[in-house]
Amino acid sequence: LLPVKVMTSESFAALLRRSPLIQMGPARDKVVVGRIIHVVKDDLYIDFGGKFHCVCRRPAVGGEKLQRGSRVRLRVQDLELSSRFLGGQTDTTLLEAQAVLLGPLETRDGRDHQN
Amino acid sequence: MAGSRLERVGTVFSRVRDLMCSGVMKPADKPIWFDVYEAFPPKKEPLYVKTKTRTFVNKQSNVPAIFYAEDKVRAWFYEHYGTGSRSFDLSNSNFVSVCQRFVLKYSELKSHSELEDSALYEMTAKALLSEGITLKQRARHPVSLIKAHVHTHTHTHTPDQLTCTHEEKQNFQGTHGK
Repeated sequence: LLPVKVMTSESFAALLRRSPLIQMGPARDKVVVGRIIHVVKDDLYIDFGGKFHCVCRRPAVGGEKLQRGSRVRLRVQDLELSSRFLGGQTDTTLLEAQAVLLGPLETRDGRDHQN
Repeated sequence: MAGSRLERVGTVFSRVRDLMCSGVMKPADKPIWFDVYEAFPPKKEPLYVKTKTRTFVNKQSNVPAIFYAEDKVRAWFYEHYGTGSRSFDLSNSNFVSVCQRFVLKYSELKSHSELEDSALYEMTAKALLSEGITLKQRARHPVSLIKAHVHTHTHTHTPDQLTCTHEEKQNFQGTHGK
């Protein structure tokens, strides 16, 4: 669990302005750090702090080390998979982000931390 | 079609009349109101009229886009240096990415000096280099790549080509790690 931060008097607008989401800008091709929240056989559900989680397939090489709680590196393609069908009034969303799994998060000493 | 029991096709009368005409409904099953309706039809035919649903007028225009002054700097940064050498940690609200450092340094220099934008960008890159953050220029658009390729044959190594060596990258990760 992340340490609880003391509440400052900063407004939400100020917090948003310097938040990493705004720093990131357009999400396409940005490398982010994610955490695996759920595993279904070969599907890894990874939360990277965006609006939705993403689902990636377990890689063939070194895939056994990736379990629930592992931190991984992802290349984000889309924060939300949504598009409008012909004749629709609103977009239809999959409630999922799309990202490419790059591999486990390598720390300085070479081990990947498990939270 | 002999008749339809769907309540929105025609009127009740037309439906019952058609059902009787076709023989689906026997004369013995004729409803009591049928002859009455035939003799004294109502002023307004009870036809179901679909109310015109308003087509989706662009309501999104009421919501303004969120743009900050530093977005211009960020756009320049991402165009020239690609996505940045460090991965983003979105769950940490105090996270400062390479781009953000660039933006902060840029605004700092802008407040002190009166140079124009392009010169300020160069200065910011040099200032970050002195702090230990090296920025790798990313490959440009293929058209400009061809032009750049032609130029590199004539020009020698320019100071703008800041390449990231392995040791510097490790040092950078060491000082700015979580």
